[in-house]
Amino acid sequence: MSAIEPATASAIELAAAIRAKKITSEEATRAAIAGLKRAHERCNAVVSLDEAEALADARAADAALAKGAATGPLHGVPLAHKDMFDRTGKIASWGAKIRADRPAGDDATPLARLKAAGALHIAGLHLTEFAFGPTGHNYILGHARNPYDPKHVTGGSSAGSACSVAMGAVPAALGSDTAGSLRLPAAACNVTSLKGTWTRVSRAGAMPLSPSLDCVGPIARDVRDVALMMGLIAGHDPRDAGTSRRAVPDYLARIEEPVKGLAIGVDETLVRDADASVQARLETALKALEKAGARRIPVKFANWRQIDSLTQLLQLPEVASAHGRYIRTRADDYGPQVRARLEYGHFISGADQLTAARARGQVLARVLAETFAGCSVVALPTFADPLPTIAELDVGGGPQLMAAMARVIYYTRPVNYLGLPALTLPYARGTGELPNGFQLVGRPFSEGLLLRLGRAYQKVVPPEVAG
Amino acid sequence: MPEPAPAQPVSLTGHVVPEERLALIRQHVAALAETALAVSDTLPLGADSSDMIRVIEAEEERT
Repeated sequence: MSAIEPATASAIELAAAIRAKKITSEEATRAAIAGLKRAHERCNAVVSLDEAEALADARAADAALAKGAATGPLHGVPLAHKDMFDRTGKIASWGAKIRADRPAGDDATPLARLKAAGALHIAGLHLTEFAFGPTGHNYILGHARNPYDPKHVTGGSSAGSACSVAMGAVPAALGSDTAGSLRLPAAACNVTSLKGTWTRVSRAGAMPLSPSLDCVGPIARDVRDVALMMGLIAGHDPRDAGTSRRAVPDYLARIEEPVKGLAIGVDETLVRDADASVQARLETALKALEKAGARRIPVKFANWRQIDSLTQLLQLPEVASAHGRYIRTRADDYGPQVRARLEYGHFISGADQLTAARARGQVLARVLAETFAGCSVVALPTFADPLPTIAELDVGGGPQLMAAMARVIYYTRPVNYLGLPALTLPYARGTGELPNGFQLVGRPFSEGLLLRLGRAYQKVVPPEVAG
Repeated sequence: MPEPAPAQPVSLTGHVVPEERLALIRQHVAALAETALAVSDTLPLGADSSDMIRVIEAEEERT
């Protein structure tokens, strides 16, 4: 009998238990494999799982520990990630029929950095086809199902990551976010995630969707795990020349620093676009943050809908261009929803896309000068509505597609255009209440501040494991 | 002025967009083009896509 329960332990606790030899990496990995099988049965969470390889890696980690060679902060901890990252010698599924032509020559940089910290990669997890969809629907792999109620969506596109973490199969997982794909599944599955400042985390070896917007980031139940993971994967990478050269703070070391007096901006007008029940849950969350010492101030986003349109002008042609070869030659290999959305980008003029790219600095500067004038953090809902059912959003490539997707990503997509960091935290849940969550959006490179607020919040609203 | 929608989806050679989707696409893209036009009127000649990086990197560390 282990002295620690892997299904409820955080990554930090599990790593400490492995180092202290209260549990072996092999035992933790066996528990993770069993958990992933449960998560797959309930949620359709897993794309690939090589048990023999995972256990061999775990035994190697135990052997290294026995020799005193284990120094990484995640040594021997089994993790699993969205199946969109290069792994040496393997071909990621991208959640699609269309895949890379040949096995990867290197690990994606975020995976390589976690591996250097001692973490094991034991499975590839469900994602929306090509990470291009915010709901967890996937017409190739099958739709992901919410761990709290399988009739409801998981959010997407990092659906399997959020499901697996929510169910305690793994303590943390990587995902990606182009228009909300870390934040929406975290909110829907009652876990937390951090989309860092654009350029904070290398995308080298991650499947590109829209490079002007793509961000790789962690999902975990405990915000301290999010802090640890972000600290490990962030930082300049010569393989992704666009990554910031700014030093990466020790997010975890400062996470307990007080948040007393910290101003959180709330745009009441923008929040009123959400369903009334979502507004009420956000209000409860804000009260929890006030209890933790923060204070709220009114703020205003001047042109939220305009920013959303600019995001689409930037994103849709990038996605269309990336898939140009395949949409011309293998259109029938796409699911109906992704194929329909891919088509839009071909009809946006180059001049209009460039306008969106050229305007980005000006728009961000205005938001920082006006919306963030008196605060470093703004709170927004993540979903505008209570969690929809899978059936409600099963719109395929039909006429409701763009409107339905736009409503799901109403509060998340513009944040990607602005390049700002955003931490999603789950709302407190009443008995039987479905999960949902809110975002704390910060100024550029304020990840540490967001994580401190998240930690303060979790002292009032502790993380849960889906039963 | 925004460019008129092309008569043929030339950039999709080999993939024909069904007529019912084409109408939706043109309507949506026209609305986006209006935004682009309005925003372009506010941009200085020297506005550049790299401005975004400059604004992000100019951010001072705050606690």
